[in-house]
Amino acid sequence: MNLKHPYEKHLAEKLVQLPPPGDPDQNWQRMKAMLDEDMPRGGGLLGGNRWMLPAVIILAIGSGIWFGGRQFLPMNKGSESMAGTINKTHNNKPAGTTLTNEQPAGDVILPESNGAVAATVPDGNVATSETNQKELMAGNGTATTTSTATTDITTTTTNDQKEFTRNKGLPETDQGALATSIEKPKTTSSSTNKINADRKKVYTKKKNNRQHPLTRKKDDEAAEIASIKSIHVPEPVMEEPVAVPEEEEEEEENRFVSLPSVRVHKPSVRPTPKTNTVKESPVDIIVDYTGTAVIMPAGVLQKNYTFLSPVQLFPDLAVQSKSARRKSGRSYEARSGRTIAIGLSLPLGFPLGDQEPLAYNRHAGANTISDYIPSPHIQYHLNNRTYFQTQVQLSQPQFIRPILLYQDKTPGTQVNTFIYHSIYARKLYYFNLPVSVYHSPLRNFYMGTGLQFSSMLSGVALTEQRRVSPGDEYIINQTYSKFGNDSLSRRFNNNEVRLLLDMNYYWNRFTVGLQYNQAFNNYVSFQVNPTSPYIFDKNKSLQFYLRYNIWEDRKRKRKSETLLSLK
Amino acid sequence: MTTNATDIELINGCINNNRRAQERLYKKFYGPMASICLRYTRNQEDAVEVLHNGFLKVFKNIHTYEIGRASLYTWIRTIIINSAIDFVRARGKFHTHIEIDKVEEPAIDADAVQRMSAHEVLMLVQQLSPATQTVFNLYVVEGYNHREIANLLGISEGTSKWHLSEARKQLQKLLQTLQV
Repeated sequence: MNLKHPYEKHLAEKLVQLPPPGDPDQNWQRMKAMLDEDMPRGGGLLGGNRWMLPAVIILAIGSGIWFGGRQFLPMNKGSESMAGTINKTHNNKPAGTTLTNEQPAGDVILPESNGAVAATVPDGNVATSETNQKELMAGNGTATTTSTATTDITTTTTNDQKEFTRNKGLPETDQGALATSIEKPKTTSSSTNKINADRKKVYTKKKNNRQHPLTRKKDDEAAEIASIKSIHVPEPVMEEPVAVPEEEEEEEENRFVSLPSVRVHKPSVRPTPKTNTVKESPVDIIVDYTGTAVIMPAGVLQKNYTFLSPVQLFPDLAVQSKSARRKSGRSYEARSGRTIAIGLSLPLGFPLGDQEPLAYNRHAGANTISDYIPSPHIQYHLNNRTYFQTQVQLSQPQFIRPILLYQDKTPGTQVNTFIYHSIYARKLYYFNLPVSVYHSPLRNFYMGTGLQFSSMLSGVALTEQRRVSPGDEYIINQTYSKFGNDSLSRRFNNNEVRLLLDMNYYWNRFTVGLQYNQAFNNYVSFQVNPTSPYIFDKNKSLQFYLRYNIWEDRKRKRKSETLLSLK
Repeated sequence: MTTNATDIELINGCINNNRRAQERLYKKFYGPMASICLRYTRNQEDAVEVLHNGFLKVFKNIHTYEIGRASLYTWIRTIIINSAIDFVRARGKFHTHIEIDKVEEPAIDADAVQRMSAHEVLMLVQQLSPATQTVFNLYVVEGYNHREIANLLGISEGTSKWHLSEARKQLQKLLQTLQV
């Protein structure tokens, strides 16, 4: 018993009443910094900060967009290849420029009088069918002729231009007035605005007004065919530019500062026609309106065309083009072929949140190579964009935070000294059976979700003896051991269902991805002893994995096509 | 101060390393624990350092806290005091074997002490040597006896008594100086 003097009691009272130093909020920031350093919350990946998961998701989405973005390249390339050389022209270019001289070999540039495209070949043989030819010929009543005795194959893009006009919001009426205004341009200022407005319409409608109503429909159809797939001529020899008659050239030069480019393209492989009515030509004539400018006779209005290429209008055709196939590992378009693939997955788990990594294997040994045993998977592909997958993970490690399973306290040899016998669960091993479905929002980039049944097999426990005395704490002994099917493992909920979230990138049978799963229920929820607080936690894991499809069902696919790599 | 349901919630949050729960626990016990630290140190900076070291131990070992054995306040207070002792021990050595049989007790006017403010008393105590200050605090304020102090500090009981005697002597001198 300690004896205090009366003044000491006063001292004690006053010392207990001391106001606390500093500001709690300000000092908490220092405390928090210490906690972040000594007790990080993020686990072992990327320093364990709270931005880890969003950063991983952003990284995965970014990489998916980066790689998946290549799908647009074939379309652009296809546009160039099908539309031919795009000749940029300037509005201040002299009207009298001979356009044919500027075109590269193989491209034919022809003026046209009605906004339509005229393509001329030196050979008189026309490979298109009679019907097509009629349509084509009927499509333009003023087909441009050349100075040579060649047969003209003329078509118009009237339909396309109609669409273009509609897209631009221009009216399609007043065509007669427009024609008049073109032929007889007014010079008065009061009528200039009207004329200018009307002139915007004339380049897409002018020739249609001159056509017979009965031929207009055929003309439109022909124009569609020509504008979408280009004109087919029997002979691909189009090396020399075609001369244009002076009168027509002069007339056209008044209207076009630069004319659309026409290019002959000979595809190496052409799909077999489905019907006998149309014979396919080995040559495509491609027209490019991009950058084409028109000057009206009054010299007032200049109009730039925006050329919508067939690739832009019909992306399906572009994807099937040879260049598109060459650019991509597999085309992005869905196919109905249902296929099966079998392979192996190599997982690599990371601790999440307060989970702590442990470099001991399932037998509490030091060699953790057994944690990386590949697991087999099987995939069922509905098409190239959607597939199901299941997997068998026979023994998958699960990082956890240290869970106190058992604690015993015995007095030590010295006074106020106690020996604590504690057993902590440090790592668990599960049998996992995930079933998930994947869908590809971008080419080669898949996102998936699913459910996973997990059953605990065993765990690694840390047995610790610690001597605690006031002011001192010593660890006497620490050993790691395996537990399973015993009283300790009965403290766990052995079976659970988890939600899966997955994203991966597939390329040439290889898949790399990130998978996050979290259990719906707690794997642990108990009290070490009746006076201690409840301990509860849910399993969650983040896995990086590498998959390889060893076998793919190719029976239903065409020859020379890899089943999945050509998706 | 007993452990209630809110404390249990805080404990569970701290076990899960929840920063929000840790902050609430820290701010809840900041006042009394900071005052303890202030008694064992020379200045506020050292007191806050001791406080933070103590709370770090609290958060690291809170899973070992047993509700039935002691209140949360008592448990945290014990850890904070131990942290303060560690701090003092790290800064200077205690005289481990000073055997004295009879301690001379100086006479100090209790009224003079009662008239002093808490801050003045603190300034008085902080002028003692660190080891003596620690023993004085443990004996007078915390209520430990010499045997417990000896176990805590790893010194003999006689040394503890000597430090207490030294504290009383120094306080008498200081009080006399203040009164003059």
